[in-house]
Amino acid sequence: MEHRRPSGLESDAAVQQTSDDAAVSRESAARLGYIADPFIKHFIKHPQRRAPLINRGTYCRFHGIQRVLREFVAAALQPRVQCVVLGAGLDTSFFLLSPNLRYFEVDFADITAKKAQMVWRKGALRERLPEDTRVVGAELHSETYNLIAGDLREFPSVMARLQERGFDCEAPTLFVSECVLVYLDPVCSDAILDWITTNVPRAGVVTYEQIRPDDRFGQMMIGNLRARGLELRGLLAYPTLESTKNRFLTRGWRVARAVDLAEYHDHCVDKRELDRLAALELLDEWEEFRLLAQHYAFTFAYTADSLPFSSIHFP
Amino acid sequence: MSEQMSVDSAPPAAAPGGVSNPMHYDFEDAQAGDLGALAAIADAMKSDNLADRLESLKRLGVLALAMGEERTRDELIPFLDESIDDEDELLLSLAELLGDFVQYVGGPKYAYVLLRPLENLAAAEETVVREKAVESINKLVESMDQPQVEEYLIPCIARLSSGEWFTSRSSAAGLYAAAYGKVTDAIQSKLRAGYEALCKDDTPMIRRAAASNLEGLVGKIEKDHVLSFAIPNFRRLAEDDQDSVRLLTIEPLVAITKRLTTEECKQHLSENVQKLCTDKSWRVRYMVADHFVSVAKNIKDQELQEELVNVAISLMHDNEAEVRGSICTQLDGLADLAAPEAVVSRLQAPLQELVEDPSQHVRSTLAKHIGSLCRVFGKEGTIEHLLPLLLRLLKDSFPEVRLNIISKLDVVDSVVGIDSLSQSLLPAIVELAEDKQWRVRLAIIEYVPLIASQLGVQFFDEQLLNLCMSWLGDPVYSIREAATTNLKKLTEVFGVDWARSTIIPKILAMANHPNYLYRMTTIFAITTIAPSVTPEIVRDQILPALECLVNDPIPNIRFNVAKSLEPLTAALRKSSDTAALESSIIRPTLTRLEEDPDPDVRYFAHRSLTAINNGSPTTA
Amino acid sequence: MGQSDLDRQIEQLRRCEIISEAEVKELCNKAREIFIEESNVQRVDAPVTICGDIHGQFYDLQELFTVGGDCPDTNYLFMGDFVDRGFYSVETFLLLLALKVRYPDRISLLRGNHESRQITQVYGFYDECMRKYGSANVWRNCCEVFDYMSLVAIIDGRILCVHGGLSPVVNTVDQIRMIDRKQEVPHEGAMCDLLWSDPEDISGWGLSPRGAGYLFGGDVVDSFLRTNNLDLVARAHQLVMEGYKHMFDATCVTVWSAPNYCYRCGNVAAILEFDENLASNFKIFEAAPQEARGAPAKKPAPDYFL
Repeated sequence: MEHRRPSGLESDAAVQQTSDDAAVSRESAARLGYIADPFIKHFIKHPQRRAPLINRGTYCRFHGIQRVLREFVAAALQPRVQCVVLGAGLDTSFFLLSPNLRYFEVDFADITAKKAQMVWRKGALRERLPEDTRVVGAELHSETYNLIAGDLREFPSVMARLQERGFDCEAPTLFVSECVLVYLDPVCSDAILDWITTNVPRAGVVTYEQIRPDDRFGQMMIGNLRARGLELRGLLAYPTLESTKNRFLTRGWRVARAVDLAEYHDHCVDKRELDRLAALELLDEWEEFRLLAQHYAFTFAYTADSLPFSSIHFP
Repeated sequence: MSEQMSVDSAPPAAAPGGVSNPMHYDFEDAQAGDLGALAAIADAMKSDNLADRLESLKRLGVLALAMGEERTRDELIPFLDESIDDEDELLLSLAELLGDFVQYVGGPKYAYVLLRPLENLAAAEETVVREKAVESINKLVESMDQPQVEEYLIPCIARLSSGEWFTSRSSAAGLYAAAYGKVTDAIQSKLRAGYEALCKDDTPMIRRAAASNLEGLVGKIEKDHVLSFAIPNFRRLAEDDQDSVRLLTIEPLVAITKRLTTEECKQHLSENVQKLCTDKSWRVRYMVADHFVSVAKNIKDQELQEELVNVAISLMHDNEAEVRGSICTQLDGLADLAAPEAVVSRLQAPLQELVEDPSQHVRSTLAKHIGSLCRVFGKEGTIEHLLPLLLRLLKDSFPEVRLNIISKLDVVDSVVGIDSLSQSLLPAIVELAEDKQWRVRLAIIEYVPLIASQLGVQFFDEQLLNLCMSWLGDPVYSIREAATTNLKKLTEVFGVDWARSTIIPKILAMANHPNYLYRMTTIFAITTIAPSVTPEIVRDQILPALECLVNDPIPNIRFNVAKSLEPLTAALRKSSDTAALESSIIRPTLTRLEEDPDPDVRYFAHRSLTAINNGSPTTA
Repeated sequence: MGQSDLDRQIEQLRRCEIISEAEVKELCNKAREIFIEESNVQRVDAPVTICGDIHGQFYDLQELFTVGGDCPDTNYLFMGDFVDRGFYSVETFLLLLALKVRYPDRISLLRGNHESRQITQVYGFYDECMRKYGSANVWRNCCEVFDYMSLVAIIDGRILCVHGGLSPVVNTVDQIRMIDRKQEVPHEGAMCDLLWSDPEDISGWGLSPRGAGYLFGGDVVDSFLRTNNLDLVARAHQLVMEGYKHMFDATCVTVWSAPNYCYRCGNVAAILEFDENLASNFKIFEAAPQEARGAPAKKPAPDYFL
């Protein structure tokens, strides 16, 4: 099967479009009642109904990341904790949680500019912003919430920008990455983890990314995404649950746990929830759901075995 | 939405009370001055249904005609401007439509009235809308004269260039080139300054827009300004800290080289070219590789070109598969950059590595383009250096690589000649003839008649005949089908006698196969070759075999016999010795089949008989 | 509708072009007349090539014909799930239906669990009809045809072919003959089970995760085959990466004919050829390559989590 290879610029644009794609999936799951997200619809111009297996997968993804975020926010007794969402796209977690902590979202300027405009113009979103929020170029700034434009491939300069906006390396910090690191060259994503390891003594990371490139489904996934200009550059470097954990453990992080989405679905989601989902839409595509879900994984890791991270039971 | 507009311009008395559904308002009948039209369209554009709003946009031309030019300028255009919607699809249509609206506002001298709404659209959130608006403005500029450009377009560009959101500034970059040729020197200098500011903008999107549009501007400016304006800005962008900006400078680079002398290229650009070629971002190197030949060709300096060949070779060794694949597409043009001997000696080593490249995509691209080097390598060079590489690729584990090479074998044949072909390529071809992938087998079958004529009958019979016959028993239907066509072509190459003694007996032997699908292949094969053999062969060998199959227990066989009798009749009619068989054998057989218990057999028997009766049986 | 009209429609559909709404209506009426004459249990003679799920993957159906031979030259039995999931359910189903009307003795079509009003509204066929025809009429016409399609077929009295599998309330083939099939697929009962059940390495019966039908074990198959003097249960319904899968000492076989299912799964597909002596032979095939799929712009992207 021949796939057109992306030229450099196209692949940037393609990666940026993934934020729209993820938002459309999230809106589909929200509209059908899988997840409770009243904000995502404001980011979507052309809603689509996704297939039941995609909706169910989106539910699991949302369920996992929200759980970590909520437990982190709940356990964060100190006022100085912070959260950094890498490649935030059109993520609505900030609006859902209204967290009382420093919250940073980072993405390409193209995306932050669009998100800033949308948030600023939609009352339902704007009213969730801190009162001191202002638009600065392609960014939103405030004391607690900052939407920052930057290229994660130049992570030190991104973090310098965050520090200008109040990021504190000494504060316990949760980094969230949903399908972001995997698009980066492993040299770049390793550099991100190295920077965090060196500079943030109390850090936690939760990721949701593709795994298992080697079987036929994985090969097809690589090929199909490549045809859309998306190169999963990090996938070969970290192909398994073991390797995604080890990339933290070999850096001296104390705890790293990983689970694939199929396992998460079967063992980490409440049985009553699964019954509720079954009533929403009939899922007739079990073999395929299993295949798809085996190719995504959550990884949760933290540097020091102390609060607030040690109280987060995930997965 | 303009409440005010409909109130002001449509006095109650004139408003057509019957227009309850705005979509049913008959614009075609609207008279000039019919005030209902605008009210109707205003209503339609307020509809909740996007399809209705889109539909009403399509009728704007008709409406404008009805309103007349003056009112279109004074009322319709301002109305459209004010009622700008938030649906991208609608904005996109509007942006496109306004570019073609000059005829409705009074021709080119009023084109400027369309700038206002387009300027707003050029600041829209959605990229496609902005791009369309820019395209439409550029279209309008074509029909505007200098005073109009200066009075209306220049301020518009200035406003967009200083807009607060990045959206308007990035649109602005697309307007400079079209304006530049239509203004005084003084304004040109302001435009250059404005463009330079965009090249220095803080937001990478704006610098990207400036880089993408620099190419167009380079074509418009005077030579002096190429040196004083384009080159410094190109350099600034080529050294941008964002790779997404740098990679957009390759096309302006090509445009700039076209305006410079050999000496100037060398003096002003060689450093930047080399930097881009070795950029730390693979995406920039990818763009360089992708445009390599056009960059190198424009730089006419011999010495620099020689150096560029080295750069190309280093790109063949690049760490990124994308870059290596991309430079492979340039092999043909690359070969012209240096003397043939130099090319042959310098490319050998990198090609050997590319043949073993870990990326199947790189090998596949190489397989597609390596054939073009035969031309430069010549017969000796190809045999000595390329042929071993081609053989490697023919045995590649990835089917697409094998297919790409097979499809270029004719080029190779024509350069290397028959001796090398039979010695080195043939074993590989024989091996591929049994490839697991049926599409590879198919490619080989299609290539066989070509080499058959080069090999001669004796050599062919020894080496390839069994293969050709075995394809008739292939498990894949389309291979069996291609095998029959192949036999027809071979009959045309080697002659009727060869067919009679060599292939027909083997085909007929398959008529006893226990599986109906293979018995059917016999019918297909003899029907296909019938037009290429003599009527006597049809009479003596083919017809008797069919007469057995006509009683086959499987209806599918019987109706294929019925079908094949039509082209066989055409073959028999060619000779007076055999024409009589039509009435003695063919017609009675078909008549009998018309009474078959199976309806499909009856249908095809009837169809063949009718065709024969009409006197024009079709050949296979 | 004359034979030449029908031949033209078949040619058109073979090029993956839709036929007019009026033509669909007439085609569906004809098809219903043919199906209504067929029993719940269709008798099929060998030789025949049996095929599993297609799911609107039109270009892969073309690939199937390229490998297995064209209809009517090769005899076919399709075991349901023609529509949903793929991008060309309309063209796929109408082509098979037109072939059925044109060559009723050369091709048999069984009903799958996706040949249902309820399922097609969730899994794409309904939306595709709306997109391609602008109204639900074509979908409605097709659903009426679904209600008349046979539930199982028996080849030469030896091989039972069914979309899903067996049912705890069906012990004999005669009981299948008694079902009133001319209705929407019910949520439970024999008809539902035949279209929804799956074989599983258990003994006896189990609950299905699909929420309809049952899981059935090797002992169930064994006793069903003995009771009815049959050799084999051939079914579809489940994605198998190798295209086919034998279970229970080869007394049950799954045949899956949608390669790279949903343009995403990376599986190969199979068809199962029975010759006139019931000698069997699997033909494996892969998804049609891009160049066999017409304009690349036509190819929408399969969904992932991005």
